[in-house]
Amino acid sequence: MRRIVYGMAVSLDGFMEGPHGETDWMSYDASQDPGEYIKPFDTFLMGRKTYQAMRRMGTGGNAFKGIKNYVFSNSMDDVAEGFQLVKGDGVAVIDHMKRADGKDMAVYGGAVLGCSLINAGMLDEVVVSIQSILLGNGNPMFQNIKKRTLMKLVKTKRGTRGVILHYQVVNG
Amino acid sequence: MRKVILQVAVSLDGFIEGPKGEYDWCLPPPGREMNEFLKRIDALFLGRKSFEMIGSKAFGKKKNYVFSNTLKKSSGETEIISGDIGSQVRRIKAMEGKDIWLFGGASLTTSLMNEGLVDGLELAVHPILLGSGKPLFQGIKGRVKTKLIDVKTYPSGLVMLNYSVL
Repeated sequence: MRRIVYGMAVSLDGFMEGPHGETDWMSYDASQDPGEYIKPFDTFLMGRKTYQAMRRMGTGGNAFKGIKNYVFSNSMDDVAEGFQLVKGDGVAVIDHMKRADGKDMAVYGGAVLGCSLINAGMLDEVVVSIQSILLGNGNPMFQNIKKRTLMKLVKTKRGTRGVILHYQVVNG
Repeated sequence: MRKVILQVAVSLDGFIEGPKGEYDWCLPPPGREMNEFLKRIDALFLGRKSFEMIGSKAFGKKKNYVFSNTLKKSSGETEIISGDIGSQVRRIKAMEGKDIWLFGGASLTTSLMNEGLVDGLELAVHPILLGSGKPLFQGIKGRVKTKLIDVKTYPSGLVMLNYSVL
């Protein structure tokens, strides 16, 4: 079965963006190679907000070689080339994708999507890249988690500016 | 100058207590590190509720500074701090002594963070999402930069993150 990984850079107080969507506090960590990070994946799963943010930055559907991009939204009717729109029960669609053949799938941005997969017991791994700053306020990586969810620490990696914690989700 | 160190157990989603005040999810602190830490400090900063929970001798003979406007003067190693927190904490930090453990609770932590009186964070990050509860950091006014000093992992899945506050 394909694994689903929810990875995010967060502040020390757990926010993935500031109160006005700021991400200027995130520091690029030279020890982290994005190409290396996406290697296990052939699919990105994202919500509407992440998709729109990508489009605003001019990122196209072919930005990541060999990656298929799925956008989960009931309010949109159309997405740009290289993206595929999924309407309706996103969790059921992802459950189906999980059982199909393929490499692993990553939740690419999108706390709502990531956390609904945790609540559905469908998320396999969590990667939290903790930056060394408190923001005080903002949009948290973990939100609306319905019940206690145990994790198994897989590895930690200290970067130049922070630390990356990698967990397996203990489902069931 | 003595340092004030916030050392606390926290869930991966940033809570120090569950929604009903639960802390049954907390793993026993790693013995050797805890002993080292206790050697480093000779005093605790506590809010009233924390103090009433652990009492005055939970960590051996340490000075307890209890921040409360309702408690009466206690005796022995316990001193009640009321009124302006900032000036009194500055006075205590300037006294001779070892470092001070900021034990909690949440509102005392917020006050000291916002006054810039916390020097170090030692967070025992637990491998669990609680979903809701009492957040470790709330009411922090503006950004606070920190520097990662040390990362330690334990077989239980506990990760100790050690920061200095810049």
